[in-house]
Amino acid sequence: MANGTTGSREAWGSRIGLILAMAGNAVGLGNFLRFPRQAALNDGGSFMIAYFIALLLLGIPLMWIEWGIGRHGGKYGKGHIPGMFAALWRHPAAKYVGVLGLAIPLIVLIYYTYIESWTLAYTFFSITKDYWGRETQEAMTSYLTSFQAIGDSTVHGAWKAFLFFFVTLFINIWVVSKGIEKGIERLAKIGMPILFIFAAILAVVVLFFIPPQPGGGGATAMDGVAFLYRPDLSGLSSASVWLAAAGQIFFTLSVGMGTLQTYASYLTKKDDILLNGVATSATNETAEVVLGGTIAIPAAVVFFGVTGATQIAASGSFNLGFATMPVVFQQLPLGNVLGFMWFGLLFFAGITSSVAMATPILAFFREEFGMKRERVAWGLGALVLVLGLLHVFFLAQGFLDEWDYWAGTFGLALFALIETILFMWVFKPENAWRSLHEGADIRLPAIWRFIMTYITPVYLLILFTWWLVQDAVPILTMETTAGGAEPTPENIPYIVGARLTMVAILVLGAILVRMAWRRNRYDDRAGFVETAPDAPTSPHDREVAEVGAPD
Amino acid sequence: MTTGALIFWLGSWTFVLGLTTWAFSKVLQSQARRAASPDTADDMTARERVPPTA
Repeated sequence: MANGTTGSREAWGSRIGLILAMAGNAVGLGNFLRFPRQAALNDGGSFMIAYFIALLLLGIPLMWIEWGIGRHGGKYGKGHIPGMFAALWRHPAAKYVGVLGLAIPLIVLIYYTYIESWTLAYTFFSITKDYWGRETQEAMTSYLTSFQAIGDSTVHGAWKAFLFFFVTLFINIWVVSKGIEKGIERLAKIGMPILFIFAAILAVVVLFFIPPQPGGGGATAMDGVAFLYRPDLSGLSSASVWLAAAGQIFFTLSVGMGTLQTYASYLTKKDDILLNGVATSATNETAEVVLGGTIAIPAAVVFFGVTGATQIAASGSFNLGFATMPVVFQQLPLGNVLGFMWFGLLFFAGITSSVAMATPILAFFREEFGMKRERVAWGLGALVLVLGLLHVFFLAQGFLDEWDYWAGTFGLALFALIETILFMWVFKPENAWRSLHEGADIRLPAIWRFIMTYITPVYLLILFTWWLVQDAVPILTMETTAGGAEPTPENIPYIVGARLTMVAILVLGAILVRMAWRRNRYDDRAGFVETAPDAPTSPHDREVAEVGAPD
Repeated sequence: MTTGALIFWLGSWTFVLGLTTWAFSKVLQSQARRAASPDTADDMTARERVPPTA
C-alpha cells in the first residue's frame, strides 16, 4: 500500500530530516522571545543555572519519554495519543485520558497559527517599510494593536489580520496535506537552515554592528549580554526562579503537546530515539541560548538601556518582538532587510511548530476512520479557520489568553505529568527502559533510569502543583484573568465562552474516540496487535486493503 | 562585562554548543556504522539507501 493512502504508515525519509523536523517542532517563538524575557526578569546567572539543571532533570528525560511513547504506539499503528495511551495501559479509561493529546494540539494550533500570521505579516511590513517612521515603542505598540484590530483602526484595516491568517493557515494545511516526508520533513529541511542563518546574521549584527545609542545611555550589546548573564546567585534561593527556569525548559522543548509522540510514531524499533532526542534538544538549546539570547534583549539594552529593556521585558513577549525590534531595525542600515530576517525566522520557527500540532489530528482520523490525508488536512483547515476567527475578533476580550493558559500552559503540564506516570510507572520502568534502548545508538547510564522514574515526575508534580495553586485557581475563580488583568463585566462572557469552547472540544474528542473504538472493535483489556510498518493499521483498513478503498 | 557574567555566558554557550557538537558527531558516526551493518535493515538508514518504490 503506497504512502499517503488510507491506513498505511508513513515514514521519515532521512535521519537528519527527522531531527530537523523534531527540532522545528521544539524551536518556536519562545526561543527568541520568551527565553530572553525570562532570563532578563529572573536574575540572569541564577536563572541559567536553574535552567540547565531543569534541562537535564526535566527537559531531556521528557523528550525521551515522549519519543518512547510515540514509537511504542507506532508499533501498533497508533500515531495519536488515545491509541498510544491505550497501548501503554490496558484500561478503558486510557483512551479517554488520551483525548488531552488531541484537544491540546488542536486548541494550541488554532491560536498559535493566528500569532504566526502576525510574523508573516510583519515580514511583509518590514520589507515594504510599512511601519517606517514609527520610531518609538509607543508608536509601534499602537501599530501592532491596530493590526490586531484592538486599537486605532486607521493604520490597518481589519481585513489585513484576516488575510494573513488565511494565508498562513493555507500554507500550514498545504504542507500537512503533503505528508510526513514530502511535507513536514521538506519544510524542516528548508525552514530550519534559513531560521539558523537569519538568526546568526542578526546575532552578529546586534553584537558587533550596533553602536551605542542615546536612548540606551551608551550601553552596548555586550552590556545587554552581561545583563542576561549577570552572576547574581541570590536568585538560587528563590523558588520562583527555579520554577521560571523549569517552565521555560518545559515550553521550549514543546513537550506535553502530543506532537513529538506523533512524529516518533513513524519510527521503527530499529531506529534510534535516545541519541536523536539529545540531538533535538541540543539543536533547540542552540537556537535558544546561543541565538535567542543574543538578539532581542541585547538590542533592547542598546536602544533603551538596562532599565528600559527590563521594563519592556516585563510588559510581555509580544511587545519585545513586535514593537521593540521594529524600533531597532528602523535605526539600522538595511533595517528593512534585517526586519524581514527577524520576522522571517519567527515565521519559520512558528510554522515548523504549527504543522506538528496538526499531525496528531491527522493521524487519528486516518488511522481510526480510514480517511485520506488530504481530506482530513483541508477539513482541519476549515475548522481552524472558523475557530481561529474567534481569536481574530475577540483578542482584546481575552479569548486567546484564556486558551493559551488552559491548553498551552496548564494543559501541557497536566498532560506531561500523566504521560510520565503512564510510561515510567504504569508501563513499568523496566519496560520503558528496554523500549527506549531498542535500536539505540547510545546506552544511557543507569542514573538516567532513576531520574526518569523518580526525579522527573516529582519535578513535574512540584511544577504542576505550584501553577495550580498560584495561577490556575485564581484564574478559574476569576480573581484574575489569564492575561493578568482584572475580569470586567464586558470580558467575562468571552472568558466563559472561551472555556466552554475548550470543554466542547474535549467532549467532542471523547465522543470521536468512543466511535473509533467501537468502529474498529478494539478490546481495551486485550490491547493492540503489533503491525508491520506498511500494513493496514486497523480492522477497517485491513478490510479496505482486501476489497479496495471507498471514495 | 564582569568576570562572573563572562564565565556564565561562555559556560552556557560552551555547554550548549558542546552538547550539540557531540550529539551530531555521534549521529554521523552511527549513520556510518549503520550503513555498513547488515543488521539494521528496515531502519531509516536502509530506507535512505533504497528509497521506497510506492
